[in-house]
Amino acid sequence: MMDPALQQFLSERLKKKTSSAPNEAELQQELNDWLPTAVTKTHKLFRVTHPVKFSHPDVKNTSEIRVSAERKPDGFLRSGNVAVEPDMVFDTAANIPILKFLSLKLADGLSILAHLENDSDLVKQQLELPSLPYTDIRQGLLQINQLPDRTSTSDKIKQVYFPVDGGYHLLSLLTPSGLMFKLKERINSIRFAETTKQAREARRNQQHHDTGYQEFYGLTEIGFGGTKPQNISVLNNQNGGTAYLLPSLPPPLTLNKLQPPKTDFFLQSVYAKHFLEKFQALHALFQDNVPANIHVREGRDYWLFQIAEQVMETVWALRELPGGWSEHGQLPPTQKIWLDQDHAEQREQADDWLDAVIVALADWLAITYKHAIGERQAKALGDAELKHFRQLLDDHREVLR
Amino acid sequence: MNRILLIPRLRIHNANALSSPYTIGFPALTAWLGGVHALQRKLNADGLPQLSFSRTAVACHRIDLQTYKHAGDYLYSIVGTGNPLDKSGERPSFIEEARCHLDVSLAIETQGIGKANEDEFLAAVNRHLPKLKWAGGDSLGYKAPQWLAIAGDNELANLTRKLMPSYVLKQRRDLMAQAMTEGQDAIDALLDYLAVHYQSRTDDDGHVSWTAERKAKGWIVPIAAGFHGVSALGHAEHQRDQITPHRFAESLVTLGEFVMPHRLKRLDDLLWRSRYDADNYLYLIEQHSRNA
Repeated sequence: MMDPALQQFLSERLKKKTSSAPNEAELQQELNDWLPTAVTKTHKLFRVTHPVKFSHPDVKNTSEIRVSAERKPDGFLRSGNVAVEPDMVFDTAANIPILKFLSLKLADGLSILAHLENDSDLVKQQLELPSLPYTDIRQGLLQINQLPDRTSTSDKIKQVYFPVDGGYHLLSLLTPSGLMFKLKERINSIRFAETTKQAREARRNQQHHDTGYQEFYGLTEIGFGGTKPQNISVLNNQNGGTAYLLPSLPPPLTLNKLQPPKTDFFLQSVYAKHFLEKFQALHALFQDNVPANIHVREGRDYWLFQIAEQVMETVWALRELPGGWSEHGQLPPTQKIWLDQDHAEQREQADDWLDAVIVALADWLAITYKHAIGERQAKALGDAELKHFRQLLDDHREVLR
Repeated sequence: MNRILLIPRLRIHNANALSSPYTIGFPALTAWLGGVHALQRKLNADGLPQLSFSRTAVACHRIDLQTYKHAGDYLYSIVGTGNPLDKSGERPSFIEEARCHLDVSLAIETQGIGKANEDEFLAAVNRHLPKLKWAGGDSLGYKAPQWLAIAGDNELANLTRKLMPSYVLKQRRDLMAQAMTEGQDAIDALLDYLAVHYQSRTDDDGHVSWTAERKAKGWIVPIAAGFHGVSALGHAEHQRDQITPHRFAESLVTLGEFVMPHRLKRLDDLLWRSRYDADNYLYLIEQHSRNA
């Protein structure tokens, strides 16, 4: 009895020749006719892990690579650290049916190729033909695992020098298509999972869901091979010629087009409401009744400096403005030095202005804390606290410079 | 004393944003260190043979990635540029190239330059810098390079404030290695840190609330941090020169964290260096790890 997968494969082939549904004898005849020719062509097909045509579709006659690297918990996405099947490449599209044939999954779920590698009785029985002895068929088809004995790269492959011990190694960069498409498969299996759909729906309706779900943002799609993805590799063809790229970008910097302050930075450029959460966190620690232990003190300093840093974000943004804007305003001289790009050199060379900024910023912290929390709730801050604020800012003075 | 060459506000047009077969965005660290090394070679040949650049930080002030997304699309697409036509005047089979425009400052740890040849050094830097490409992109300009000497971690702030406002990469390979030690493979380990995990909780009154969290705090991203050799070292036909040992290689990707430079307390968390690990065929761009 012919395996159903094999039957279907041969029926598809015969469909092009006859319109009627073929019987088993006709299928057997097709196999007998086709397979010996296929066997003679298999030496031009290769199982590889790094198909060169991902580097450039016109690359020809280079080494074919099938790497087996060791798995190690080294923290790297690389060959060896994910189980993937090799990809397959071929000389002309006319030979794609051979690859399809080898990939056919027999009734037990293993591919014909895997069966041939195991030399199983099942595949022997399926491929016993009058036209060619089974041993020849097996040997011929397994040539797909034999890679050409040549070491050749190409000017179409990116070659980079990497410094090694005072000299260099030259690296020809290839794409591990198995890994690249496994990444896409994993992302899609999460995106399109039934539980993901249910959980998304539950969240939309503000209902509970036991497992929750995961979402990936900012993915980019990249294409290989244009309208002919099959010319790049079998995996590329199976993936419609597209893979996913993960975003690798810094957070956006909020260097908005700010209005420069006219008379006072603290009055016109920073607003208490933008610091509310941080002041509330600070307030919670001020209220802590535990005799001031190291964690509480460190926690206060942490939030104070978080606030100071946020102030600096506005300072940095103002320094991005074309220099000279402070010239005609009524800003205190120390703020002109602090904020205007034109005074960059002065900021480097002098320190007195920075001392003044530290005093002003410490005052602002105390006033804004009271303002943000409310006069009645806020802890009364005295000279000791103010002195501590100044000391803290002074410890980080280079950040404020 | 650490001597640092600071190249402030380098503006780069059309840099290669395809940092690996799995990532898009900030150009690969290998490309930045390659550019720094190219500058060193030019300076070595121009009267400063003893100079070497040992470690580098790249502070990103601004990056515009050339991708687009139509309303309703889930995926971004790459903004394609015209490829050179082939010999017959046809467009070649399409290879998508991802580009970005960006402003960076480079902090380069330097050996072999003393007080005596400081001026000569900066003059040579200014001679060669305008001609260099960075990550395949063109340099549109930069501010005057500076020469700093800082006493290690104690004076780190003198350097980092000059990089503000920006983000720099800190190595977080530890996160991924830990997940892999616990049994995840490299893709699961990576994706787990990049996914936003949505979870719901029901409180005592039956009120449901949903939270969105990532596995680790901080702005964690996948980064291209070197290459992995996938064939034996030897010689190949059509290699760029016939003398240098050649091998085929693939990108090496791990996790990194974008942080504002002034948050860093150690120079080792700022600067990246290259290293060859012969036993594992790894060509690494890495930060000095305290455990290494």
